[in-house]
Amino acid sequence: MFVYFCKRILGMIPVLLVIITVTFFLMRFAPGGPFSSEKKLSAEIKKNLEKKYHMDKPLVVQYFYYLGMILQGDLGPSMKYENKTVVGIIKEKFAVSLRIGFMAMFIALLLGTTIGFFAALNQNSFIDYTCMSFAILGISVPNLVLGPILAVTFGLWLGWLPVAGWGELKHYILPVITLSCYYIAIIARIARGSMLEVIRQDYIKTARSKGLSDWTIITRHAMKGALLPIVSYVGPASAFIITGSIVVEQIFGIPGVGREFVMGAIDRDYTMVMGTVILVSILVMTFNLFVDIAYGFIDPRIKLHEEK
Amino acid sequence: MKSIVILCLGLCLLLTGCPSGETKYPMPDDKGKMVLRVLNGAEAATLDPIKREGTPGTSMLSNIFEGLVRVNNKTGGYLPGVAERWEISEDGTTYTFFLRKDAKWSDGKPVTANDFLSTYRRAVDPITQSRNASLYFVIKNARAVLKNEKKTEELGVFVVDDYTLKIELESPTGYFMSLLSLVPFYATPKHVIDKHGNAWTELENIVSNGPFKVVLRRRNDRTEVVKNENYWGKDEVKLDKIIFFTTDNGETRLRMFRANAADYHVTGLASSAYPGIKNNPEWVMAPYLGIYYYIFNTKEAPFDNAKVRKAISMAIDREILAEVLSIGYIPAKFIVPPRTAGYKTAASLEENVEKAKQLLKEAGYGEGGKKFPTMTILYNTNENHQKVAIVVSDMLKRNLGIDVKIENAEWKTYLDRRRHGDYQVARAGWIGDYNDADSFLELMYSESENNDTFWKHKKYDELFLKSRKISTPEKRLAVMQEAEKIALDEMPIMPIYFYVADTLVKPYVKNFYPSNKKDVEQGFYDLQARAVFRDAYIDMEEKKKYFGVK
Repeated sequence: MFVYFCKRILGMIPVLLVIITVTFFLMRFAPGGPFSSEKKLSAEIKKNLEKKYHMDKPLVVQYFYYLGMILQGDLGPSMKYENKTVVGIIKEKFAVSLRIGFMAMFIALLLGTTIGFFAALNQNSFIDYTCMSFAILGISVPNLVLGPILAVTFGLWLGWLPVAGWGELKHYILPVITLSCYYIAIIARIARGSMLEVIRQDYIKTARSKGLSDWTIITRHAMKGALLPIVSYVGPASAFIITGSIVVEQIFGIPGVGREFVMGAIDRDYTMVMGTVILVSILVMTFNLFVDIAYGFIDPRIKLHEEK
Repeated sequence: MKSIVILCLGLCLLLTGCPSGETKYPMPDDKGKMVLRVLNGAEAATLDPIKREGTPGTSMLSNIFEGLVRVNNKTGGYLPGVAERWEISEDGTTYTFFLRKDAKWSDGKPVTANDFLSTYRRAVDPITQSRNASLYFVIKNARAVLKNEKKTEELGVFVVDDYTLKIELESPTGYFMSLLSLVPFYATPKHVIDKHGNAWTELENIVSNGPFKVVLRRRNDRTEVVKNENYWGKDEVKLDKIIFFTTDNGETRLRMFRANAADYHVTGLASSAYPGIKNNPEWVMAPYLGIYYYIFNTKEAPFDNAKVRKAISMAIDREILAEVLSIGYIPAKFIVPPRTAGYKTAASLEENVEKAKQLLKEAGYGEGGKKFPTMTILYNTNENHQKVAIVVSDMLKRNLGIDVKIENAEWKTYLDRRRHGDYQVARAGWIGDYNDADSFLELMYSESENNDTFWKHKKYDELFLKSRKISTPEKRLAVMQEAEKIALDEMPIMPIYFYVADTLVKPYVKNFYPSNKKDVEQGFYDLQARAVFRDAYIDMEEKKKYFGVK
């Protein structure tokens, strides 16, 4: 197990290097730069700014300089916000996105699997059709539409919840619902499909013929197998959900990391974009690793280490 | 499942209509304190006045720091700030300021002439990398200091004694007082900067001399400021606290304002605000120091020909354009916005389709000449810019038979293309840095860094430079008027409309200009739309009534 874990971690390094390299050069080849603005900067000021951020050196030198920095755990200073380092900003904002993302994913898992399993066990009934119609709705209504609808309805018209803002518990409700809706729907569909497949398997038939109750069959035997596809979806999805969503953050005025990512790209805040890309990549790879490890526990057919 | 039910409920409500009435929003519990909530747009990159950028930074810093003079929002003149009084030499090149002795930093230390000296030196020092450094070029040797040709000590700012500051200018500058009222000329605390360097603006270090001081700064969420008890004019400051919300999304700002979560919405309303807004008493629209225009790339045919440029401008109906946008923009027939201090335009462009056709013919296009090549209008991606470009292209097609392609580009790409002349006609906008025609006429000066048209006109340049050296206002006005006339005659830039500054203000916010439509009618507003809340207060009784609290 430990060997497998180490191997996987080592395997991440070349992947990360490729991502860093591609992002670094793509970003630099985009027109404009962090210091271009409607009102032009004096040549002297621009020169000094470029010197400060080592942008006066050839691109390749800058690239290796950046790699060197990363090795020391430094993602550099933000080019937009004075005195702020990228690591500092990510630390501050990631905590917010993590909380919202975690809650949204928790709700999505809970509701998604329940709805999906419920629909599968009542296949082709009214309940099944209703659940799946809502799932289609959940997938097809984007955050961009759902967020404002919720804000207008519960914030503006009913006055029950704040339309936007951050700081209190009530500020979490609408963004978490907005963020989770899509995932509830997707998970419900996956859960339904996998449950339908599992209950047709031979081992379930065996369990049935042994005279076990429906409840025991579902909870003890079917559920485990039906969870596998969900786990493999939730892994990478979690990485994206906790790194924030620019749409939800903007609609509800949440100081999360998703906004930094997109605004960084618009402002050509090179270091900020690199920092967030690295964060997302590491998270996606880590969650994939978790998924593979989780598989080993859930599915007895998969072994992560060689048998002695 | 629950959220889906909620979603359906929401959708049903959307279709069937909803309860109305003010009382459904709880009044924020401020424990009897007077708190003003401001929707302030995007996050300010820094709290250092000399490095301020954009409107959100300006509105926060105008309340946190104070300069030598303050602008009188009601009448437009200048009020004493840190300087109690001032003297201007006869030739208009030397200003002496006598500082008040009771001006203090929020840590209780006195504000002295040395603070201003070090601030101004820091502003032009190339090491500081201030993006506002060029505003200082009117001060003696400022440009040379920035270019590393002279030492910062040679800057024309002198401390006579702790409370007397002398500033020498390169030439008489009619708008120097306007410059001094700007945020980049406010005082910064020498003793704190000496200690903390660049980190002086961090929450744990920052010290300020304005009516308010910073107590909370949560990036991309909010900045909170409270009354500065060390401020010399603290008796006139009524508000206990101001919360500046960072809300870069216009629709979110609007929803927050409508849900009574904020009392003031800075200029920059989302387009969905406009239908029916004219009847909203909370909507306050005032003239603004800004112009929306198109620039021509005068380096390349066919726009190297002034006749072509003029023909294009003549074939456009600006009244219709302003109407299409329905925001209350003023059609622009000249370059310097109306009501700019000390200026009155003497020229006006003409709109005349027949004449436009004639001019185009004279330039060799149209009937009997060559076919006018397809032209492209470049704009940065934005709904309004797109509308304008579509209407303009339609007008040109209909009136002059010119085929127009419109092309949008993302902000930085658009800027890059403008700078490098990779465009034919491009959308542009300019907000005056200071309340003077100079800030607009500079756009066409051939040496200006902000002239992306590549237009170079000897007479224009001469007049522009001359205007900067004249101390008599009347003579200066005449020279500037002549320059504007040349620009309109040659049309390197094509004015379209003048911006307006519209804000949303709750009726219980008082003593702040402009806080309602009547203020605007009476001319009580700041052309630069700086939101200064120094004297503002909240009528608590009216606020309770507004929220339906008994």
